[in-house]
Amino acid sequence: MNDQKKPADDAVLRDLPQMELEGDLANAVKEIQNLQVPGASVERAVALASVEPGCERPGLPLVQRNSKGWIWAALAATIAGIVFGGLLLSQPTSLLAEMQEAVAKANTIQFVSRVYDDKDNVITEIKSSVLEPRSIRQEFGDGRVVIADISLRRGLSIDKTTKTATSFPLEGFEASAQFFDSIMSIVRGTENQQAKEVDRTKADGKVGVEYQVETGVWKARVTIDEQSKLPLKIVLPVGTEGQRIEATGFLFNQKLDPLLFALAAPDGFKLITIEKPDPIDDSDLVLTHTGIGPIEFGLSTAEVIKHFGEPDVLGHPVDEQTVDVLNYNDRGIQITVESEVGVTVIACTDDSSKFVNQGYAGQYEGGIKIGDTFEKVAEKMGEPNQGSKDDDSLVYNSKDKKSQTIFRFEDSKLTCMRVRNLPGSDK
Amino acid sequence: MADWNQIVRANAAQVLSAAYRITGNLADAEDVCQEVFSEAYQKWDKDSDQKWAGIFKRMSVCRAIDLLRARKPTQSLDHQAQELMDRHSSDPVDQAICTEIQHRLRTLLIRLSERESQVFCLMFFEHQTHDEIASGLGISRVAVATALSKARAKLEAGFRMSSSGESK
Repeated sequence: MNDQKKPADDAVLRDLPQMELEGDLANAVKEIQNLQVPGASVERAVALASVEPGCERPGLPLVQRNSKGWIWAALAATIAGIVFGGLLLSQPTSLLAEMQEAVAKANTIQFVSRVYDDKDNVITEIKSSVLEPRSIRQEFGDGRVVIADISLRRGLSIDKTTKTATSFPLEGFEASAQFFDSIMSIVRGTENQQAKEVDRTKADGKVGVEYQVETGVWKARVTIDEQSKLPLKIVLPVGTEGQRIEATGFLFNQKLDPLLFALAAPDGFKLITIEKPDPIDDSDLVLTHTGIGPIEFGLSTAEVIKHFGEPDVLGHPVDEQTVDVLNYNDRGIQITVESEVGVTVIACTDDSSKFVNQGYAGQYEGGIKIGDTFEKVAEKMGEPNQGSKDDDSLVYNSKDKKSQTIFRFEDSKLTCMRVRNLPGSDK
Repeated sequence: MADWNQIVRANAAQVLSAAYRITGNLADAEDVCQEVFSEAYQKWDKDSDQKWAGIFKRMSVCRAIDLLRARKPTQSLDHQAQELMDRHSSDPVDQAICTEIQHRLRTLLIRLSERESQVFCLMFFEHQTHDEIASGLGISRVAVATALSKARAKLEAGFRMSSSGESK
């Protein structure tokens, strides 16, 4: 830092008292200055940040687990917020709800999980899954360790057999994320969750109350310890019928060594670094009824991410978790994926939208580009099924109406091209 | 632990408010708040007399800007998808109070350099003096003034551009 003052600095410093804002900027600042947070939120913030007696860090909740000492119930609201998006707590009307309320505040969760086939054979064992606000660490039964740092968007796979550590970008981690997402959803609760008590059963050496919990996406069995109000076992069906994942041995808010989540190769291990694939030249992308570049209609979200990388935004509605909307701001491209049928909509736009960093640089089949005039597009595409210059749009449908292309214009310039293609379209 | 919890009680509202002003979203602000306190707790020295108010303001502003940048708000490109995204991302309360003009400022803030956005938010949202900002961020007063001047110019230009775009 160079603090030596230059002559020009005097002028800058002289101007300081006159630093006043004007117009829309001043209004926006004033509005934001006047924002108030609700008192209940402050109370929640205090609770989250306070350190309870016997605990070693903030964010520790309120349930004593056993006589060995204070081990606190919980799951990380921060993890869910950062990694998986917002979930809402259900009202505390049952043991399940009490568990969900109790675990809503913690920072770490640790558990053992096993994948069983339909004959109760263990296919895969993850001896330890540890989640903390920024990272996930999994230790597999075969000795492999995988660490994922969500904030850095990188992972490290450590193979003790070959003495190698492979650093990789986090694309492709979604399958694991979905598993963790489901576990988090169960222990924290979701808005549209349905649950009923089904049995009293033994799990993890203790007797607990078993609940059947389901949303529109998954169905699980959760066994809860009546004494501690903590989960004893969670069973999630996966893959083909009869296959399942069982998570047991839950521990919360353990003091964790930060080195557990370090992305550095252990001493004596060879580090292999895998970088992201070479970027696709956006100007080569052509939007067609087959897809755009490597993205074909019908691909899954994971496959889209494999080709295009992590989107700037991946959203899905509360009531329609089966629909993913992926925004690639720097490409000016948005892709809609339905879980049953894959990619159904691809939209490409210009940069006039204040949320898109760059406009779409590619073209629609036949050479139509963003910025082309209405007349040029109409001439190339022919008579539309709907739309006109007055509507600022041109719409073309396939005969079976399963495929549709919409061109939108502003000031007679093409600003957005959108292709919707349902399975079985005759295009 | 009583000392720490006193620090939390004395500063939680301020930390949460600072984050809320920048993120415009209560859930995000709570995430920032928890992150700030967790981080601060790691650095907490019981025996030293730290001036937490300023530290928390700075940490909250910086983490909230980081989160805002990471979220990169986008506008959905087709109406159906927009509806889906809106329903997913917005709490009705937040929607009501997050006016367009605030939203525009937040969008512009993440286009500033890290220092410019931090200095601007600390100055205008947290009412810190130049000296407090300089000391908190470890930069000179001149650097604060320069960042502020650049931030204002860029933000005003951004508002002018969006206004002229709307009037087309």
